[in-house]
Amino acid sequence: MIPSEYAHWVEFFGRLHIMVLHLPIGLIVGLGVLEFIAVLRSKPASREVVGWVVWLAALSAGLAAGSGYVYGLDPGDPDDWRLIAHRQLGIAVAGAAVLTALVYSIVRVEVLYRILLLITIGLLIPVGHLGASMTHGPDFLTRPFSARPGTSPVATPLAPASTTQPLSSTLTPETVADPAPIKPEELFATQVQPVLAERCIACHGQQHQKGGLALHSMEELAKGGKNGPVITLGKPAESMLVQRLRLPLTDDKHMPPASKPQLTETQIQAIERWIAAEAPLNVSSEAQIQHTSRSIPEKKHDEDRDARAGKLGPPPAKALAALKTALVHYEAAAAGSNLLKVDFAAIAPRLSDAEARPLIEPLLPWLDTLSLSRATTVSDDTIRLLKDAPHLRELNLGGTKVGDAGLAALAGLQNLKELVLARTRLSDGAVEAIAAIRPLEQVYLWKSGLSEEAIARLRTARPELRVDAGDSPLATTQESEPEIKLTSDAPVPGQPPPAAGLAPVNNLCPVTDAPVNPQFAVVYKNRVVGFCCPNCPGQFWADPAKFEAKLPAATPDTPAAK
Amino acid sequence: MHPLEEHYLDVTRRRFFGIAAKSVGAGLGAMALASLTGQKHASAAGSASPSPEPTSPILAGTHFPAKAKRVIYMHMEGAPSQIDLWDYKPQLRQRFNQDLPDSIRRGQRLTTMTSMQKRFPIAPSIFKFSRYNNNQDGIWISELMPHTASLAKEICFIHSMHTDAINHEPGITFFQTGNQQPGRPSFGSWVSYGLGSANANLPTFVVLITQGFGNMQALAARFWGSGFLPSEHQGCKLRSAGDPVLYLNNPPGVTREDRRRMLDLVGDLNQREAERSMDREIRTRISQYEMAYRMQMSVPDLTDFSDEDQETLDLYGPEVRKPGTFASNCLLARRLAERGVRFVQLYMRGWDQHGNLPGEIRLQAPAVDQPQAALLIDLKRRGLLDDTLILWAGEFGRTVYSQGTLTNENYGRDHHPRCFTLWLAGGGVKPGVTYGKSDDYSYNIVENPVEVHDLHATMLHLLGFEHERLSFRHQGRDFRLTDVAGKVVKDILA
Repeated sequence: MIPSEYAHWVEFFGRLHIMVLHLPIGLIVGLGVLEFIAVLRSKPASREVVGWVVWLAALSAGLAAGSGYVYGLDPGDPDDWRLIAHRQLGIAVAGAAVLTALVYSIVRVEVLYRILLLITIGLLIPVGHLGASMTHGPDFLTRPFSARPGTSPVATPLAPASTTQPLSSTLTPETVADPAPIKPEELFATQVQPVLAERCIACHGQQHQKGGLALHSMEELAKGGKNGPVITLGKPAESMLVQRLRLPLTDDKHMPPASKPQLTETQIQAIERWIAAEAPLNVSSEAQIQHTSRSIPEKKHDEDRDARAGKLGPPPAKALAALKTALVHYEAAAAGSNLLKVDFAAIAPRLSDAEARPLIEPLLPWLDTLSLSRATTVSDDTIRLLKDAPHLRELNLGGTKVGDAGLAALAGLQNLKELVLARTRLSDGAVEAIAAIRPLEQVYLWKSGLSEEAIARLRTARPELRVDAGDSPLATTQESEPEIKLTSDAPVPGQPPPAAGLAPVNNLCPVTDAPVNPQFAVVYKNRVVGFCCPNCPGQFWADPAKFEAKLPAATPDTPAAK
Repeated sequence: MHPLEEHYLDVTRRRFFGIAAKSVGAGLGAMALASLTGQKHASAAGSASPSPEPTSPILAGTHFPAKAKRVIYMHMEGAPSQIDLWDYKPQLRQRFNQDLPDSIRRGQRLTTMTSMQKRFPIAPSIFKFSRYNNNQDGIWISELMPHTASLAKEICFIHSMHTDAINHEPGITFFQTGNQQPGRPSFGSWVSYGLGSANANLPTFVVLITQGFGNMQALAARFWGSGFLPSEHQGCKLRSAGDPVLYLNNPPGVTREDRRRMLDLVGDLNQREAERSMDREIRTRISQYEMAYRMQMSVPDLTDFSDEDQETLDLYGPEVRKPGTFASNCLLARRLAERGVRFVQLYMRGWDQHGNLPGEIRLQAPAVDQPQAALLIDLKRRGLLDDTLILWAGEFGRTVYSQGTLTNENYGRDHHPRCFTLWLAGGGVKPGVTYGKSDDYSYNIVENPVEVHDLHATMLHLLGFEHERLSFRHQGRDFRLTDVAGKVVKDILA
């Protein structure tokens, strides 16, 4: 039993393992290199040098094994086979290193020394690999190759800076090719479960349940941890699982711990989508995975499209770089999406088909929005390519040389919702091509060359399609106020009405036309006349007839002064 | 990354490539310089040389799919009278010259321009209102805005805006930056920072100013300043007379090739300074020099209306040919929008009608009415209105009571921050509706109040941003346009 006052030092010694372990690796491999050179040169290495190094190696291997033993006592999963194997092999390396040193300096049999050294190096490799795979993740080394076959492993600018690995890498090539849309229930098997398996279950799994939480099976996941359930169906923001993932990295409660590989934004969003979709928790994950392989009926809505686009992987970096060089704008359709919005605005007026085609062609599968507006020389040669842009949702061909043939090529697009054809020179035959684009919701046809009759035909053929031909009816006047009369008739709320008979008959001062202050009033011809200030009555009396016309006409029921 | 951390990284980079270069060999330092400068600039003949890395962090896309790609913000500087334009209060016609009841005013603060007035006589609007059909049960709009009224089916009127500021300077600053104190980045700069440029040949944030007819308040360049954001996000003012951008054209005797060679040399020197001082503003300067070089070609094309057909020109009205008018600036705004400029800020000065309001508003309103209506129509038929968010707003409203002398034909109105009207259109806003309600005096809000932060939050939402997450760390704290407030007005989202 360790006295508690030394516990900190023991822990400190254990943590030294992470540093010390590199010393024997370097020294032992160094010894190997020295022997190799010695064999090549047929001349033994300097005994003094090897003598020092071999003992340093033995000493550091012992230290590494000792500190490692202590370090392995503390955290993690005591039953992890990797930990057990690493510990036993580590001790074996230390033993082999000491034995090697003893043989070298005492037994002095060169052949025996070389064999023992080889054995030590042979042990070193699995030890190092096991240790590294615990701290860095099992696929740390091979990750760059597994990103996506055929594309550069370099993160494209589309990927958020913190991305360590796109979600797509957890999918097999077969699923990439699978065109079927994902139902909310399948999200778990394809996008959530692999993430949990990779990032969470080492600590929250069958073997180890930190915080009482296990995520390796649906039942356990539904059960939650010692702080209660981690999932609130339909409400990702209220689910502790998501809350912990979304905490700042610096927060102690953030999961996974800051030192461990983190989930990408795409992965967290996939979990959020899955929770939001209220998929039942009572089905076991194995059953879910099997379910995926069955064929799923076609269903079209944006989430499906996003999910399928998620399987695409990031767009090729080379094609994006070409856009950038050509000053063509691109951006992600939204955070975490691999789909692109591409806008040729900066270079549209001088864009030719020959320039446009090589820029667009490699990116077709990733297009979400494309604007060729004002590209007056771009024609069907380019537009025809878009038949292979299955995710295209918005297309602006305003001012281009698009023709009926180009439009016909768009008929197969399953996601095209909005199409701008303003300021083009279409013939009336284009109407049928437009009508054939079934998912289309909005089309702009101002100055498109179509006759009124053709536009009417389109409206009849596709009544649900919003057709804007620049002829949207303006709002019109429904009713107008009558001539405006300004009066003070309405009672003033919260104020007593003026004493009967003392209210002036006029609102405006007859001398200055300014509003009347009832404080300044005179009686004239049995009527109360009000003024704006004490000076006006004097002027009024000087020539009453001159101002009388400005007073309201006297009527029999005009209140008279008492 | 934490700025301090970044600084340390810069230091190690410099030490590695700079100091180490002395001993290891100059080659390493030169290699670093080449990689940081990006591609060598295109030859003088090519107008397009790749821009340096933009500093926008959102290359990864907006927080969620956006409804609007850009904003056109028509700021009515001086604060137009909601009572004479949009907020129909027929009951006031029977309360002419009555005192504003204390139960309405409730002792709220007034400006010093009218706080000394003995009376607060109610001045009903003398302008006739008509009801236009929209997507609800119609909306009453003043005879001063007939063209805009005819687009009632596209516009979302908010009758329940309120602001904290009671004077122009803090009022405009609040609308533009989300804070009454000067120094924060402008709304346009935030949008530029968030969305980045969509056209490398033009600035992301452009400012156009029209002189009005009445009392004009100072318009400070800091209203479109970028504050602590990198200065490439600053608004670029296009002038109405002479060269649209000062010093953009080459002086006599300097060819475009000469300019290119000069920029290459200056760029290399700046790059060295950027390496030495690690001042990111120098990187901005390099990118802005390159931008200006490209703008030498793109701006003349932008401001040349010769490719507009007669029908379009007529739509904006007779003033469209006169640079600097609101009509001309509205057409320019459409041309900027179709070229991908993210934020176009139009100012119409001269709405500060403290006295002689009827006379001044009869000049002021027609100057904006037809052009702004034309802008909506023109954007709509080109398929641009659904992704362009339009905002029409003054910095506050005007009082129901008259400032100065009230007669049957004349009155003035003071500043009124507690309740006023603004409108939005396009870009995912519910068209043809009104939101919020003012009381019978257009003095207080009785239903669905909207504050400036809410407006900003809603507009950022339509642009694809969670306003709480679009932030910039400065002086140790994360700043955002909506500061610590703002909620999205969900009811006006289409």
